[in-house]
Amino acid sequence: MGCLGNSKTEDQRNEEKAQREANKKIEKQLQKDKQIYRATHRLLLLGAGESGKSTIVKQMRILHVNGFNAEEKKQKIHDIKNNIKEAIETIVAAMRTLTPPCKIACPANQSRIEYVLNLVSQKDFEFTPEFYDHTKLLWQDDGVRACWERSNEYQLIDCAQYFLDRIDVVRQHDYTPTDQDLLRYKVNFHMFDVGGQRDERRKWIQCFNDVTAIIFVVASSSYNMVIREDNQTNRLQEALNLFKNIWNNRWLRTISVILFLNKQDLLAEKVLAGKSKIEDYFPEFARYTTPDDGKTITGHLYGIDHLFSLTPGEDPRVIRAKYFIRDEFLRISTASGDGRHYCYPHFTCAVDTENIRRVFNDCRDIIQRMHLRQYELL
Amino acid sequence: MRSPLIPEMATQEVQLNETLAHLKSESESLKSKLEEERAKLHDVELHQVAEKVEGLGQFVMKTRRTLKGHGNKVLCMDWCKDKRRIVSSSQDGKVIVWDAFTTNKEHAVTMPCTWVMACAYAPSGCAVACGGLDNKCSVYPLSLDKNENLAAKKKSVAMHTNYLSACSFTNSDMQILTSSGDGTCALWDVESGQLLQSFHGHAADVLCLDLAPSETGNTFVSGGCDKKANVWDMRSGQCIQSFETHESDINSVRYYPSGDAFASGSDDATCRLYDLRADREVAIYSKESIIFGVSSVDFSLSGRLLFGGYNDYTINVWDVLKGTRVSILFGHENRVSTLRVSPDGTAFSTGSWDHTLRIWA
Repeated sequence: MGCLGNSKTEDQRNEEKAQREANKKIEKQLQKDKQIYRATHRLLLLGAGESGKSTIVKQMRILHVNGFNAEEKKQKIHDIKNNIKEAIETIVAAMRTLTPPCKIACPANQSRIEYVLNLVSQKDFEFTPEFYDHTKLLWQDDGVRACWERSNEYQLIDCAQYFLDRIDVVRQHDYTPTDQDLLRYKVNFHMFDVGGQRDERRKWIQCFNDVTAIIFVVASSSYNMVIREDNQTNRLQEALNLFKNIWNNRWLRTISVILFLNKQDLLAEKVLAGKSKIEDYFPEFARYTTPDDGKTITGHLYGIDHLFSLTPGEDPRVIRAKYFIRDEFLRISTASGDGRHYCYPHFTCAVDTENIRRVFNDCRDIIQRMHLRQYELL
Repeated sequence: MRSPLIPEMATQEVQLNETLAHLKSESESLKSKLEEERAKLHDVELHQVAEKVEGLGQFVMKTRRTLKGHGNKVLCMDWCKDKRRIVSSSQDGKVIVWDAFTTNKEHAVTMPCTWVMACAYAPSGCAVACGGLDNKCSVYPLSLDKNENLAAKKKSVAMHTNYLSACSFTNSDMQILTSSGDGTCALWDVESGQLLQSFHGHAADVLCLDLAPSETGNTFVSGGCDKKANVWDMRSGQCIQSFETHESDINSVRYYPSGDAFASGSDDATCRLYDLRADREVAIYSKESIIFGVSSVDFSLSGRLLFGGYNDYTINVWDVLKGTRVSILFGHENRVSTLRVSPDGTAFSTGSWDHTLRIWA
């Protein structure tokens, strides 16, 4: 490997030294970039034409603009607290799954570890003083710190250390995030819209076999429209076909799909106007009854039922229509998957930014759960 | 679903359908006639002639270097003409230039679009080209000044309407040949970014290309998802020969060193050799035990050996003349996605979905 003994000249030795240093410099940068890369969630954005996909992308971008007013600062408090929770959950879970695993330094903290591990499966979590006490003491444990120092071996949010150091500040009732705090709280999503690619998917789709999730956008209101390409195929049916294709694609078998049932406002309008009946295009609708508590096929999955809180005063005809469309997709996703990936449906309306924000936060939770599930199964 | 309202339209439609069916059957019969003509000239199989050739000796090749540093699947690599340097690209957007002998990294560029699918080294060794799902091919000059920011000097050369699957400089740094998921290949002027020639003929994504080795460099071969391998004249843009014997996507094509033939690797788990003068396929390299697709092929310096990188993580080495497998090499922990023999034939390099590259000798 270049060992020529004493016959190397001074120049040669210097050049080799320079090369090794250049190599080290590049490796350092690559290592840094790798950490950022691992901490970024890559999402593939898919959807038939005119599903409202591009509007959703625009809304997502608005959320990242750092113009935080007092209102938004208050909202961010909840997110920051969630970051602390997510951080300690991730570190604690990683302690037992790393090779070699990390051991807790102080035996008294073992019960605290159990407490944190139980947090993951809790549905209605509240930030109690108990939580902060446990978390703070765990953060001071040398074993937990050692695991945090190996965070490049698993995925941990960037701001973990920053907020864990400031638990005492964050837990105060009158806590208001500083600008510094808000800058730290940065969700790294990289959404990729494949609008520019053709329908012949089988080669380029292989690139996405390791993304965090696929965001699939459907225009729910297009049940009575046909696609531009042939002026024949029903648009909603086309979306169902595309969804089935993606769901059963051999390269995407472990990728979960976040389903945005978009254009809910237009759907409600159409249903209430009564001119265009869903059963004319989807005869099964005539026999469909709304599940009375909103829990159907996915009721048992990660407490998904709580995501579908009914908008007060919603017309039962609209409820029936939107749940029918949702269940058409869930029928496809529950038919196969073997528990390797799941479909997370949301009712959205791209024009309404609040809705997008709520859904966006749910996505973060879901993605975090996916990662924790990975570690628990390892 | 269709119910034309006007009776005349109905008759017209029926007529159109008949014409279409008639044309289809005519096209099929022409194809079989062509095959008949080709077959008439076929007097003996390649491996029969090769029986008189001496067999190959013991084959010992193993990994001599492992290049680590990429953070995601390595999809493409290329050797520099100095026989020592390598450029590789991966799906985390990194394009790295390595010294294959010492494994030192010399340059690293981050592409704005992380899904890089192809890369190539310029003949002078002073630039690299890369592209992927951004539908573009960009050229980065390699600066000797290590502190200079390479990304700033990037030149956007090619623009396709679909992903860039492969790219290659021609005999100089001035021109680049690209193939794309939009079904076309194209020749570009690097300095101006102008399209010099486009090549239409594939019915689906074009996945690979290789330039003919002759000094004048006037033809190239491309392979695509339509199972066809086409040979093109670079000046006229015409497809001068076409071969359709594979049963699935052709992932890789490579000219035989003399330029009279080329090999292809496909998802149908076979590699095939096509002779340009005989205008036919002359050999198939396959085994019943090999069921995974071939992602990349390349010849040894003499052309006696054909190396194939497979999706089952292995490399199969074939005796081109006798049609038998000489060796199977293990080492990668995921699909082998790219394989190139060094310009002086002393080693070959592979890139894989396991994030590494290996140098074999």
